Amino acid sequence: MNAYQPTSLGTTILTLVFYITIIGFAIYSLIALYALLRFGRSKILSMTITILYLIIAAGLYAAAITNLHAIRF
Amino acid sequence: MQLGSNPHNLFPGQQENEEVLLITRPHWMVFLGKIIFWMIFVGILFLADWAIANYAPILNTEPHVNWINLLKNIYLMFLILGLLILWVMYYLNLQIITNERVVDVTQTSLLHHTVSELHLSNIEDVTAETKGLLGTFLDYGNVYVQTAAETTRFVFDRVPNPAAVEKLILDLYEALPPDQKGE
Repeated sequence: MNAYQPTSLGTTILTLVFYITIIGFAIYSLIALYALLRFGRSKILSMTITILYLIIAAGLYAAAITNLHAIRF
Repeated sequence: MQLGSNPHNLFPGQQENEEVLLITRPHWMVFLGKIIFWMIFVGILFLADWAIANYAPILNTEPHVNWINLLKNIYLMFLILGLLILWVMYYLNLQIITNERVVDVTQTSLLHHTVSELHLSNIEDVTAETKGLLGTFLDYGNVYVQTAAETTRFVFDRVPNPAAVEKLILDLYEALPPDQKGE
């Protein structure tokens, strides 16, 4: 059974700021990828770059989440 | 530069039997210059690591190291995003020369895409310009196409071998039937 772990105001604010930043990053990324896929001449190249970018971004996001959860107030 | 291919759907007004003679983008040196500028921001990351190790080693211990790593991860994410945008903006700007027209595809920003077409018969003057040390040694520069159309001047911005581009456009214009030339 997992014990309930209360969050502090600091943790809540930090989490809020983090996810707002990530949402901004995600929106900007999606716009860039959309422009690439929509106007790019080579669809294969565009898809390759898109997949590569998403893999790298997902890895960095996972690392950021790990660091976020490790922060204690 | 890509010569003599016949790909389809390069621009909206492309005809089925239209022959694409040249597809060109700015010279790779232009992109390299932006990459070098981007590398400055990568260098900031290493500089921060060095500064922390030498001047604030306490930041490499718990609980501060989690904050530092979080900030570095977010910074890296935006670095990668910046690299993607740099490449997308370079990749989506191109000029196309066909046997019928000159097409300028410009990506001004991520959501600002412009396609300008110029029929060969509307060409009035073509000028190739090479300037600067890098432009001279790496043979890239601007090609200006003066037109009689609504867009008075097309610019091939920092393209490789501008003299060859100029010659190609002029040769295509000269090959037009006399009744199509704007004389």
